[in-house]
Amino acid sequence: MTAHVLCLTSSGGIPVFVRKKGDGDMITFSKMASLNGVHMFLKSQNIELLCTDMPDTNVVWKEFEDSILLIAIASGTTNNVLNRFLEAVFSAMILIVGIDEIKNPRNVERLKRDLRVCNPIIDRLLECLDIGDRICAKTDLVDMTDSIMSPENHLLQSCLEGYMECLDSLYGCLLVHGCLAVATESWWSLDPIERKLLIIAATCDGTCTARDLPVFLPNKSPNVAFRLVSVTLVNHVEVLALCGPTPELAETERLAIQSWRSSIDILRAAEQCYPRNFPASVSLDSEILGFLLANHVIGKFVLSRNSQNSKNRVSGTHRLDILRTFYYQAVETFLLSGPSSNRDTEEIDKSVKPSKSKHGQVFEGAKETYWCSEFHKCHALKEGEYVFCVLYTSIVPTHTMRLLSQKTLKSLLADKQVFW
Amino acid sequence: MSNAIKMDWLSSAEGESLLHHFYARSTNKRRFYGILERPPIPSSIEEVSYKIFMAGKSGVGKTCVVSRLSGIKGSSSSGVYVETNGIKRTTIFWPVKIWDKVVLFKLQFWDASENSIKKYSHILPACKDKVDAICSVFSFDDTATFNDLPQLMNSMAATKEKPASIVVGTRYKVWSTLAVSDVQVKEFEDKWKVKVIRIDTNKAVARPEIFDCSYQLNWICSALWDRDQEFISKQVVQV
Repeated sequence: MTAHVLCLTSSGGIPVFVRKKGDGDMITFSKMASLNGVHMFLKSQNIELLCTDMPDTNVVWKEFEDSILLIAIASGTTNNVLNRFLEAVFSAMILIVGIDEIKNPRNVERLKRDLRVCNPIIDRLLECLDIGDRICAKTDLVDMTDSIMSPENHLLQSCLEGYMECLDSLYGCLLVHGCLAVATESWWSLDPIERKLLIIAATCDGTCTARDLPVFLPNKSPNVAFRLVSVTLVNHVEVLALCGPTPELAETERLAIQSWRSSIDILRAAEQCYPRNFPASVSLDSEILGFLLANHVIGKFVLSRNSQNSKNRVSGTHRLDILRTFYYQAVETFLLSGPSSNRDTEEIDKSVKPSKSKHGQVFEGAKETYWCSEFHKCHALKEGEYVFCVLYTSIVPTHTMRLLSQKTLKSLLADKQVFW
Repeated sequence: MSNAIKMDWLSSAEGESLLHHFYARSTNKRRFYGILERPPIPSSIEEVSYKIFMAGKSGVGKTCVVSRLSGIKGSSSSGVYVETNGIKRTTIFWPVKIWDKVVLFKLQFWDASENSIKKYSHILPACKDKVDAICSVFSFDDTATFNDLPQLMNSMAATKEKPASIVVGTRYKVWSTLAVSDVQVKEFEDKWKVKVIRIDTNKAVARPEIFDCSYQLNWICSALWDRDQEFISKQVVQV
């Protein structure tokens, strides 16, 4: 199965880029032209074309700033996810070239060339789509920060804050294998897509000792570029910071050595926590194959596989893929469909009064949902801002899933060291 | 070039005894070190640090050269060209036997794309600040990049640090006819008094990858060493 994303100019329909994921053929030029044509024709009739659903494939159109048309074509995913995906793709374009260049391109060929830098970022966003392909390097969600609950997060937090003070920057975070361990308070004030894109931009082109990337912030600063500086402290652990013109890259490294030198053992311990992604002090029941713990208000998640079950037939990544499918298809549809949960549905919901039950309470989506299949069972539990999705073996009785989920969630959140 | 550096030292017993420090045991790949780490070799071995700036036209293979030297075979994972955004700095630790002493070279490669340099004014100054060597890269596939070398080297050499000059030719294939011929390269080497280091980042080999770039890394270290010797001897003369 395949997913495509096309980018064309609104005015002339000139293709700017095409990216795809999966084993299908590259989309033909004539198909691209007709997809653009339908949208353009309806626009001339004052109708906005949003999406079309075919038995196995969805197409979503989205125009941005009256200058760029993005089209996503994918199988096995929901329109809600595709809409957010297109938002993220457009934000990625702003991240690299800034909004001015996109709104008033002096020259389309030049825009095309400048946007080539975007390709690895867009490919990583495509990886977040769930198109029923089993083999994927990392299971990731489109607009949430992939994070890790490392055992000594509180110590890392104070180191990070010290380092950020030296850099004179507010926005910084520490990544372990590309998963966020700790971040400054201001980092969480960034838009979820901004956070996602900054982490992708800093990690998508392999390992290096340090990086200095010019980036625009799609929401906060689409016109003025910042510098995203990343420094690898120990192998697989890097610290990111958003800086102004100073300090220089060489200086940030010197400050990084100064601030982190004494914490090298804690950093190594955090690195060892991957891919379990939560502290060894919490143990999981053997029926649990893996879990996805998401904070849907802040927009972050932890994905973990129960290593006790490694002898199981189905490979680990495949299992975590099921959790993602479950999250996109069931959790977002039933648990998070309430009025406050989703930014995209928010506008629609404003016009339609939220349905009220007879007690006068606003309906905020279901509290629990589950799936049963031949090999697995999935159960999701919503508690406050947390959604806890668990993947079980098929032998676990359906009615005990709730108890196990509740117990596990409690022990995860009760661990004071976790500081998540 | 002086003969201070033993080019085949890595294959000697002493060289091999140090080699395993540079590999990750679990994956059998070259180990990568963060800024807080260094290879666990005896602390008696002296460490010298150098900053090298990769210069060259866009698409010529600067990033590929660095990642190959750092131990990644087959260059960019998917084989598709990806332009570098901003500055990318990679540290490579390399042990060298100079006369009778082992020295650990800490080579810091600064890599930035031509487009980023044009677009953002802070990038080139940051790369050229306190630089020890300029590595000019051309492609054996493309005569234009070779013909531009003198101009590139002249524009880069005009810094007060008097950086060493290193020239790397990418996409070199041993048994095939290349756009840039060996005769041209020889002529260039004689005229500019530099050694052109040939590299093929996609070469598939059976032996450990480290032996296939040891020659290139040794040459880079030797260029840096020669520059230091020259610098020291000049100072002595001044006194």
